[in-house]
Amino acid sequence: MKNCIKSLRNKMGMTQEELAEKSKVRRETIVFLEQGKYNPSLRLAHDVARALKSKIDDIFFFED
Amino acid sequence: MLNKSNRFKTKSVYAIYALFSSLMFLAALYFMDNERLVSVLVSMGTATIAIAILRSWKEKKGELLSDERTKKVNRAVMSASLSITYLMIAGMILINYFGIVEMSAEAVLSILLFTIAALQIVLKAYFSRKGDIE
Repeated sequence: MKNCIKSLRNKMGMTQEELAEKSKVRRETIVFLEQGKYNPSLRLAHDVARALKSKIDDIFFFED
Repeated sequence: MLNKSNRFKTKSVYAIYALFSSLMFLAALYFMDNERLVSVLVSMGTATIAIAILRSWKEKKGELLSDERTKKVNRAVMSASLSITYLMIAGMILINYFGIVEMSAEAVLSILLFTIAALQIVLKAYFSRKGDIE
């Protein structure tokens, strides 16, 4: 699963630390998410999307 | 900020640390004659207090101690260390059965205690480097 968390986060001028705090996870989890190495639970995907003021399917997508 | 349920959980964790270290120090007083046992018990009690202080320092810094990924990592670590320990016990039973090495109960327990602790550290470092655990 791919995502565009990093570009959205940069667009909003948010640090990884701030996004982690808003999504209630550790900063390392945001690092792995941005690298596409971690598939989040639906709850975390929802929290990240809310922190980035976007919809889940605008951020996370599967590559065919 | 910690909510009510998390605050209760945190207090319970510290109560367990305090209870365990107190038990270790009381046991050390009780077995005063056995110097080796006293040093092991005091070390365990001191290590528990050190862990509690480290945890509290991290919490005061506002560092989140666990999230869904770390919980997943911890589950994988527990599962892998249990499997490896199980294999080690099986190996030691065979070693004892064929009389390859004579081992006392104290030696076996010490090996297991050390192995489980070492496995927890090594496996946690290994799984934490991986992004996801399938």
